[in-house]
Amino acid sequence: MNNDHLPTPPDPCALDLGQDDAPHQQADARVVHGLLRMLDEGESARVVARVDRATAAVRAQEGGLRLVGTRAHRFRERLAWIGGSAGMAAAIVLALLFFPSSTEATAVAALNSMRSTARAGGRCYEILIQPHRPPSAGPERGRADGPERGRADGSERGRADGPERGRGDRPDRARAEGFRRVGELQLGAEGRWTLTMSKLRRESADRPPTGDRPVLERIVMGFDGTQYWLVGPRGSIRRSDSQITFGKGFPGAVEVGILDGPELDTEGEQIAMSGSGESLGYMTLSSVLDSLQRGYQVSFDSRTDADTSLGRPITVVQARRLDSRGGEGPQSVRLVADSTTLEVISVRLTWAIRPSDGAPASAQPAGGMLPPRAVLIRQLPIGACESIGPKWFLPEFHSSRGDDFNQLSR
Amino acid sequence: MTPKASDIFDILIRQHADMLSAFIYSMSFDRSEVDDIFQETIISAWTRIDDFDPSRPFAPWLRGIARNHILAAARKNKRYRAHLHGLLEDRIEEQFGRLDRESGDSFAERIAELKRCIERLHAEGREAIELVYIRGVDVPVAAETVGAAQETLRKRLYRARLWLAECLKTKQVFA
Repeated sequence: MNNDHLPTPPDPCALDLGQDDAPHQQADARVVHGLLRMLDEGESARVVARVDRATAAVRAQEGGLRLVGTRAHRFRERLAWIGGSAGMAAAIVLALLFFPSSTEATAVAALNSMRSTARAGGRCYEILIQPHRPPSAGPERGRADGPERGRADGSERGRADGPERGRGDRPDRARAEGFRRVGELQLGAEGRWTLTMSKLRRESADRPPTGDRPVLERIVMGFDGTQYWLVGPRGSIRRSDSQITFGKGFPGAVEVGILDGPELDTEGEQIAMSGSGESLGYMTLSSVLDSLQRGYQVSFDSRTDADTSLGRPITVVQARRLDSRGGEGPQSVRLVADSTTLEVISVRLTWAIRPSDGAPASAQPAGGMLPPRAVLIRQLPIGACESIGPKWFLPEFHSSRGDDFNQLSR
Repeated sequence: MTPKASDIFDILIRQHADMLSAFIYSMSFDRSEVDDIFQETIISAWTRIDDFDPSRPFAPWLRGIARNHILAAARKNKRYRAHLHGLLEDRIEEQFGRLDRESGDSFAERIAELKRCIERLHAEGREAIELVYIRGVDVPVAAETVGAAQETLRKRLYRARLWLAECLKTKQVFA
């Protein structure tokens, strides 16, 4: 029998051609089809996202994460029977060992779901930094001769009254708190991401003069799932197996240009950052979520469960740094996610302030540079930025022609 | 301190997620429905956990729920209805039952023989399988890539799947 009369199905491999074959042969071919689908390079990430969505839906249907009562009790009893397999027993033992309390366990599970959802990509975020000192204040490198750009309260001069580009004209609490927009993070599929930031270029002999103003140049960092990329203003590329950080390759390591919407602020505002390599990691969502796997106590912030100001139910996870953790990690991290999909809506990282000198307690000042007071990563509306595809990670896509990293690398 | 039932259910689902996805891919006619059917299956499983007979294995029970959702979705579509019949469904379940008994901690380990069979596949079939299934290229693009008509490529894929099924039988992975 020929099935050419059938329109092309959405999955062209699913409707077999062998209608004359015995049913068992058709069935076997279909099973092979299903198994082959699992070999697709992107299927692992899809399965993780699928599971996270499904389990989030279960939790939502059961009234969030407060499942108690006879069903839970009976299910636990039944698990004793299911636990015949070694894998299952091991899983349960792991659950008992590593889930010190049900609340923390489910918060960790929610965090894992957020990581998986982030890996599915398709969203973009803006990165805002609340500097330890406003750009205009303090002995920041390269600022001594520059014009004053910021206000004493950290808000941006000349922009406070205007609408924030891409976000309408609603009041912006982050701006009022002194946050400055420094970059844009785009999440692609399978863990790919790009982070667009800027650096300050000062006058040099081989470039045409631009008056007495420094110039901001766009730099894009990225991760292709295996390697980290750094693409300079003129298309030169550097790749590395480890995270490219301020200290390891971000040109102009201690200065981050302030962006306002898609355009660069060519007046050259900047924020001094820590010279440590850790700072950049706190601007990429995946690094933040990964860093919370160790050294943080994770819990739900139940006080905000009912907060629907975003127009959708939210889940809030709070992570507090344990004292034993070294380095320069933030003291607390607050993640807001969509309750149904566990898609991250915003992340706020806050460094503790040492009362004695006003410096972040976790800082290891290097050359007077400090980590930011806080970093805010918040989701941009769908369509606010183009999605990144695998093509971005092809060298020819950037038409390398410059030597900017040779010039700027440390 | 005991973990919450929902946490243990999460672990169970994660453990069976690959198998369940493969089963849904095997039985459903529309790839875009896989996520929905998966989600509906998990919700139904949780809702009906009291019906689960603990003296029986979990995987077939989960597949049974998925099968009902797949058939319900397929019945709504006249085009797919003709392709449904019990013999086919029973055989698919039989083969997945065999896979349940394969050794290996993960589903990927249990289907490791499939990769070995692909390596033994004739060049034309292997090229088609690698393009469409492993690299995820759409059939029209894959057909253009190999310089064949779409229908030719689909036939090539079908023959390759039949051959792989035979290969898995010789390795006693399939019944």
